[in-house]
Amino acid sequence: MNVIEWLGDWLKQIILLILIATFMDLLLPNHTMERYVKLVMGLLIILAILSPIFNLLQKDLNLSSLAFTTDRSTDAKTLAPIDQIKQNSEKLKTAQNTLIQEQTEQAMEQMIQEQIAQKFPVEVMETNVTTQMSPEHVTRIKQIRLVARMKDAHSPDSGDGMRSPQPIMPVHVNVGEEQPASTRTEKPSQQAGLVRSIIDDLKRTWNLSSEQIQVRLEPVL
Amino acid sequence: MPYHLDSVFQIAGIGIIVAMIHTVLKQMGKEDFAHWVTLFGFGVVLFMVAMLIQDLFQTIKNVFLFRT
Amino acid sequence: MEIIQVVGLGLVTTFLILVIKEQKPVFAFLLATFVGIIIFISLAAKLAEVIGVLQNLATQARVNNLFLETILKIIGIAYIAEFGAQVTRDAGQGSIASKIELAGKVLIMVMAIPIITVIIETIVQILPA
Repeated sequence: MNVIEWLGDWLKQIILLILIATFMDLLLPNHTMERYVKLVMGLLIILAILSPIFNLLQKDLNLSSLAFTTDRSTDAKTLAPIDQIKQNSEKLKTAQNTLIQEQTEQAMEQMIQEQIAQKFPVEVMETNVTTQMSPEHVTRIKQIRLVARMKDAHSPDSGDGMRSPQPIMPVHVNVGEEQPASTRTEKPSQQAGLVRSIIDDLKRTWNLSSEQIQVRLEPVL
Repeated sequence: MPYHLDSVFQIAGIGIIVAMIHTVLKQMGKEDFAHWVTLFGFGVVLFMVAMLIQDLFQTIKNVFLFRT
Repeated sequence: MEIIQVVGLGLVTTFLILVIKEQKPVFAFLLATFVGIIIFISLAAKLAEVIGVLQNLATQARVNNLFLETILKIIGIAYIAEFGAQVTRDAGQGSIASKIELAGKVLIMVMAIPIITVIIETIVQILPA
């Protein structure tokens, strides 16, 4: 719209100048003077035609300022209130923080899983690391929950090949009794020792207190 | 637009009368007097024309040269 | 009808001049000048209207006032020089008439110089940039 307006202005100027030139020609009393008036009017018309280029060249065209002004003109109407912008930024920040937290938690879980599986004869079923963001944006571990399952000590796919093979234990099958109870009663001391050692290991590795770590050991299936 | 048609006839009349007076005076043998009369008539008409020329130049200045 | 008045005036003057020219050619010449001036003055009012329209157009076209003024001055000079040259030529002084025309041309050229310098300065100013 603006461009069309400007173009119309420019064309109007040129047309009016040409009209004026024609009138001048008509007004002249004799033809000897016509050449001078024609020269001057021709120069004027050329100036009028070139005036946009002159304007462009004279103004030292500052592209950044041009861009900024256009930006401002477009944004001024659609600009949200400052409170909303702040809210949005807060939202984005918290979203980013939770994302980072989740990622660290996942990384830690994987590390713990590998570590435990390597050091102890257990199969880690589930690890759950809860972290907490301190006000200085440092993540601290709040809690580690670990569910592991006793591995069959002589299974061939055991991850710890360094361990000395243990003698085959007799397998008791108690039909009609719940398995966890039976296993728990079977060798509770071994499990408790394993759990304690796992907790100790985690405490040492992650520099945590014992109440922050929960380890549950499930019996062998 | 004031057409000074009176002035036109005035000038023409002055010319004719001056010519007649000039002829008459010439016939009467007073040639130098006749020349004086002619000069006087010429002066009067020239005065009128000069006034009109001043008027003309003033008008042209007003119209074309933006001077009052 | 202005034209009828002008033509009537011209015809009357021509007859009068024919009458006087036998006795006093000087008076005939003065009469011709006089009538010429009268016709011109009567036309000046019309010319003023046309020039007013031109000025209006020029202000609408945002032409620099200097330009319009100069061009109008050129036209005025042309009119005056033309008038003087014709009167002088009527009086039989063709050489003086041509000198008046020469003066008119030179003065018009001098008048046009400010416009041309302004335009050329603008162009030269633009070119290095």
